[in-house]
Amino acid sequence: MPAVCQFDRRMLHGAREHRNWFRIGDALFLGVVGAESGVVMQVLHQSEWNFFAVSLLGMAAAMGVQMLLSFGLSPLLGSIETMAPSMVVAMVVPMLVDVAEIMGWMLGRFEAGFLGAAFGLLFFGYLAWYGSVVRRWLARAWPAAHGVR
Amino acid sequence: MTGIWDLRARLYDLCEGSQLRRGASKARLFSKMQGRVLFVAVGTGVDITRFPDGQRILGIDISSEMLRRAESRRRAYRGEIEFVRADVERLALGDASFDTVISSCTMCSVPNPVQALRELYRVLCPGGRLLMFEHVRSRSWSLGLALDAMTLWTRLLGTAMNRDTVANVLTAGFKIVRIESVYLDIILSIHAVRPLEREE
Repeated sequence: MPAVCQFDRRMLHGAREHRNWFRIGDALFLGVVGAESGVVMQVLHQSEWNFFAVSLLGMAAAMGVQMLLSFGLSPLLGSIETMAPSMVVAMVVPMLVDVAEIMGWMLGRFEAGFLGAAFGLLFFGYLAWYGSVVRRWLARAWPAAHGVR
Repeated sequence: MTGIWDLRARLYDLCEGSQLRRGASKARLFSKMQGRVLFVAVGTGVDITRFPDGQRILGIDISSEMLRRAESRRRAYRGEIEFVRADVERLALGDASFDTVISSCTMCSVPNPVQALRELYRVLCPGGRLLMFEHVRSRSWSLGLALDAMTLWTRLLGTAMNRDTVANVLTAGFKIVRIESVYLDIILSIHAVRPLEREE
């Protein structure tokens, strides 16, 4: 095999490995943000305050923690790459805990954390699918130029 | 505007200094630069480390504090880079004076992106390349909503997270050659050209 091809194969393998490490990082991060958001909301629902006040406060608190986590991890996983998807998780998970509360399912701290982590991982799955849709769409939108370097 | 960026320069490298994730994509995009190069919004110069060696580049930024912080990276670059403090919306540069214009996370932060792109169109020679590494609003409703929500507070710091930069590039008259996804449809590597006169 020509040396150039061997070099290309090594580069390709390196890029794929590089991408996979970030995928693992993204999945773990969204799982942690989901768990954190669930637990924060569950803790606030233990108080005797007004349900809507707790819902708003819980979502704000979950998003506050999510932002701090995103800032902390941005040198490793990227600023927008952490902030944008985790914000969705930190918005939706508190709502899920609210729904559980309305339905009369009294979630414990572990269950709320588990529910949040599960949603975080599910959302990561959606992002992986959406990413492949976007790549296909971009390749279709500029077909004449596809492959141009 | 300038004041905000002078302030942000102090914290910029903390969040954006690491090129761990985006570095390879930037290097691939910037490898296409050729001829006389205009680098818009130098920032603290984190992108300079991804430039191919031996280029002749004019770097501009609205913030003198950003340019001061980019100085060490400018000196370390194996090529020629000159820095000038300038506003991309009002460039004191001649028409068709560059072969390549590059920008990195810039069009989210200029007050009038179409005006800025029209200026870049003017200074780029016909057939010249516009290489952009930019973040834009996602078409996904959930991510788009998150980016809209983020813009409520990032706007106070001079950045909009929800711009349609691809549409702005087309509005300014450029022809898009290729767009690569760096992260979903949020961070894009855009390769456009100023069409030759006969195509305009």
